[in-house]
Amino acid sequence: METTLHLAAVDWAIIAIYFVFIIGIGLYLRRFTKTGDDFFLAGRKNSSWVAGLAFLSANLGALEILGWTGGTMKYGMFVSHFYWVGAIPAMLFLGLYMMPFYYSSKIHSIPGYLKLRYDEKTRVLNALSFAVMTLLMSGINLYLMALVFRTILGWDWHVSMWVSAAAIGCYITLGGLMSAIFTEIVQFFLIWAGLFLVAVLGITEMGGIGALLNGLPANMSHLWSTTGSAADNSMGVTWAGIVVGLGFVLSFGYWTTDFLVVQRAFSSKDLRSARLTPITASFFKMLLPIIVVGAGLVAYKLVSTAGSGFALLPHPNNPNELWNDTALPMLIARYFPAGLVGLGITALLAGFMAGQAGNVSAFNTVWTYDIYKAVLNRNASDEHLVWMGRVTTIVGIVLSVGTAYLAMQFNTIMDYIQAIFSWVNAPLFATMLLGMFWKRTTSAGGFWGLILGMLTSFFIFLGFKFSWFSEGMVGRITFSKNPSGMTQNLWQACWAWIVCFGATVAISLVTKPKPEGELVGLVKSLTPAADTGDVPLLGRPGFWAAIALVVLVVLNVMFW
Amino acid sequence: MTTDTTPKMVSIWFLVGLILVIYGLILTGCGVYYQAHPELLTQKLGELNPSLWWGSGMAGLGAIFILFGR
Repeated sequence: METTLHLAAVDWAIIAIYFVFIIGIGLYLRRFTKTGDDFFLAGRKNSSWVAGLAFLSANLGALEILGWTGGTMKYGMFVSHFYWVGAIPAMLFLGLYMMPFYYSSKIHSIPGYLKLRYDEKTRVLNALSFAVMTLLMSGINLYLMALVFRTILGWDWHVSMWVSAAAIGCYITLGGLMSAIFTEIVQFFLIWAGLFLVAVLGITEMGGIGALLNGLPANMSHLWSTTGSAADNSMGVTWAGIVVGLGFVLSFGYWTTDFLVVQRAFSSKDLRSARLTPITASFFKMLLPIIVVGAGLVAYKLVSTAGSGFALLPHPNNPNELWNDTALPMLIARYFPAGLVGLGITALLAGFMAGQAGNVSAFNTVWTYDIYKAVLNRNASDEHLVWMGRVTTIVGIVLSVGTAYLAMQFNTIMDYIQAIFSWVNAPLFATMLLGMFWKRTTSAGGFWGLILGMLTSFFIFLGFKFSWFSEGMVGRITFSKNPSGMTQNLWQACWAWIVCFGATVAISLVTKPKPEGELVGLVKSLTPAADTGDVPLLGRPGFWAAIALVVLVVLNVMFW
Repeated sequence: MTTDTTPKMVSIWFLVGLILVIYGLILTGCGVYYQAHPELLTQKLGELNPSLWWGSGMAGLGAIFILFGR
């Protein structure tokens, strides 16, 4: 097939060095991976910098980079909401208020907290739903990667999928979470090295940031001024939808309860480092729109300019539709000579593999501790669990490749991802919030509230998908007459959260709570505050969280 | 008395520095070659020869990481 990017020998050499390097890291770290804590928690000896960059990198998959660069062509600067208000408050809340309960209880996973706070069945319910979600995510990640490389480079998508999956399986099987974290940090720098330059060159061609923003319609170049009415912006959402749906429910649901990212904080050497992990990551998260939104706006302007010589590729599954996700690769083709093309492709590969490795390492931990040890083999030795973790890594990789074939059935991948988050994470955030901050929450309340929340989300998803709802009903659910898929997902998450929260409270009020003695260290009102008296100001999580918050406010005001 | 035989783990910052230096040197080499053969730079803004300055920047940053992470 005809392709857009052609790789020279130097590009192939750069890609080959990347694979050799990351597999070499896995081989090197194998000698340090002996116990369960080594394999599943990277020995609990990382600094907040290491854990923080890994925390962000695990989130920085292909869907982030390509999806939102393409999304910028559709939604403009609105995409920044997903990096700023849709991420930073939740990351800071995790570091300041939730991490002490997670980290101090010495759990291996988020379901592990549910076991301590609620009961075994709540843990297994969450572990199973997380495992399914992780495999779906993993499959989508692989599918998109293969599709992109097939489209822009002509690579056989089966081969590219299996080769990258095999590399990830190899280094995680060898070195466990430490391997994942080391490679994620390497990948973080490669993503910046390879893709930041695209935005720099694009903005240079446009004549600077001012020239880039100049002439954009208001709904593309502002964050809040067009959110008074859903009809005024291309996402079809009001400020309430952004603040409540994205900024609160979806964002807090993902960043504070998704084990994929939180697992990196568990690898920290002490509580202070664990609390600083998401706070450190928040600064780098705020920088990402430079790449994603910057490149997306450049692509938008080039497409809108006659004679620019820039065009998107058609979607391979629908040749009549231009595929926005090809914006970034097409910019690489526009600006990069041989050598830099190899770096750009390596950066994309690194992005895909970082997200994939995050899924696999989280999956192997949840399976091993929260399903296998909790249900199937309660007396398993530490050595046996490490073996199980390695086997699960390989099985998880194979299952996610299988899931990739299923993912081909879905057209709008980002919307689909949001839907999965809504099923699992949005109601779970209500369960966690009540569990940590209301001692009256009971085990029965937590379990049934979570089930009702998940069912609500799933029912609304099916209702939209199969058009079960009347026009009036859609308006009452989404507060919008013509909601986009993204808006539907935001409100679907909100309703799931509300139902879970309300049901958990109601059931808790009529059922028996756990004795307070069992909740010390798990519930805020029963746990002594961490003493930070002898820590200098510059070492305090609260100080850096306040700085991050100020930066967030400034950014939002700048692009109001 | 027992002796800890576990080898000391190399710093992650050293590894980051290593890959940045390797890639930086390759790209700088490309940039030098393009400087001698500007007709090969057919991309937009090719006249800026981004391989040269971006590659040397990466190599320099990588060297700092290696020094920091030793």
